Amino acid sequence: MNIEDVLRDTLADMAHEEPPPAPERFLRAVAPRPRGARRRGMALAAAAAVAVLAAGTGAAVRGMSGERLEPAVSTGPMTRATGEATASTEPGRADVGVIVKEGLRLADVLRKFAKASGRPLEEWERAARNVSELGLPDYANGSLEGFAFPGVYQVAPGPRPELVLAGMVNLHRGTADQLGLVEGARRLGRSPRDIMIIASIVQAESSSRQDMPKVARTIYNRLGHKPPMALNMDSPLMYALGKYSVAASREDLKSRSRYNTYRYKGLPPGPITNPGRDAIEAALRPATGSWLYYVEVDPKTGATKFAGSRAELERLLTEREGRTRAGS
Amino acid sequence: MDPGFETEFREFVVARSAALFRTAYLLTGDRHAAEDLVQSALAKTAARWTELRDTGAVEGYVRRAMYHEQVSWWRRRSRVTEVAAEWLPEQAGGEHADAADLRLVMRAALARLTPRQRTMLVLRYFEDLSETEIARLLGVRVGSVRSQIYRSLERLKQAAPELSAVRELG
Repeated sequence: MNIEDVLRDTLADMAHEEPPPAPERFLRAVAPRPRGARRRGMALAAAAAVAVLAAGTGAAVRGMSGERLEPAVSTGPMTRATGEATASTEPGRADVGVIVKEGLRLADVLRKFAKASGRPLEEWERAARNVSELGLPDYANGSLEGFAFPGVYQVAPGPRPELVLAGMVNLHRGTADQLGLVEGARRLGRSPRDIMIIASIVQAESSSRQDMPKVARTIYNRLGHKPPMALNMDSPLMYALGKYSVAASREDLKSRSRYNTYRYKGLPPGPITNPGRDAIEAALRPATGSWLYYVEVDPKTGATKFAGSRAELERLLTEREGRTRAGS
Repeated sequence: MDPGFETEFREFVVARSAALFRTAYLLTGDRHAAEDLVQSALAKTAARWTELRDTGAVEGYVRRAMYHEQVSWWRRRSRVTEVAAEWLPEQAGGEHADAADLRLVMRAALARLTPRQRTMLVLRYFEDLSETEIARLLGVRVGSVRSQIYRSLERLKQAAPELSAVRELG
């Protein structure tokens, strides 16, 4: 036996001579305090219990029985699906859960809720304007658009609409904390609001989750381009016009809305969808690349390719044309 | 409180605090100092939870925080030294030293190393890290880790001369 072995044995012995304290010992002492979560009041704690499941988490659903006022949702790092969340399969829950997909506009969210709850749309719209009750973060500038986090929400039987909407904001906050929205924005030299606007565009423009970081990068590249370059994206304009088409018409392009990124350079004034976690993450952590354009080369599959120059763009447009013609 | 954040942090502490405590105990040789060390490292970790969680770097960060705190120049060794005196056996081994005695001698000798040396030994012989990994964790050159570990082992041998003997025999 050499000294190294004796040392190994000694250390192994020592490691077990003191029983470790219960984990609670450390949890009491170091209760984590995410920024901005300090005083959110009972209303918001209750609001958290309204949300059944955050979109794209597949997380366990807990605390719905109501004996304790515990957050019902864990937005933890579990398996992440894309697109729609599935409602809980537990009896008595699936039937009341309204699925709010990633990337819906607020107007559509409210319409969905109105339909499922039996409460008139006006009531939901009023609740959405009642911003003092929603617990919005400062960077929301007093508007819910962009912060109605996708997920599955219980709207019937009857929690007040304000409570449901506050639950959405609460999930946004949780996700924002997890992703480090405020610090991430600072690192990128942007405001948290800018990041959310970018995330909302990324959500609208990306046909797959994999494309999101690249779409985000393309937006940043355009914003930072010298000489200045307009975003030239259809989705903000469609939002302003209340349309759902993919391509703006010649008439649409004449719009004087600040959301017309063909006319005005820079970001639109606010979010255009309610983005999910992936899109926010993409806006915070864009891919590396010098892309300035992207083209959906195959409208059938949504396959998208990215280009850094006009020449490359032309090639992609030709490819798209070829595929479209072949497909028709 | 944000649900995800708190749940995740709790899960991490429940799952890992015992292991962290064991390492901390080896580093400090004292129960209270070990608890302090774990607690302080967890507090630093909680403050940066989101980015650490997202990069899968939580455990590494807590441990690095513990190692650094332990070896940092301002941390006093008084507690460790007291323990050393307590544990020093009347007779250090001798010809008939059995394994248990050897370990007792070893503990006493360990307690008299500097925190830096002791930390390196714990990382090398308890955590089974390579010299390269230790160098990276503590932010020193590999050569320095190698020479410090060598010197520490020499000191342990001096403290317990019979160890050199067993080594030659073994």
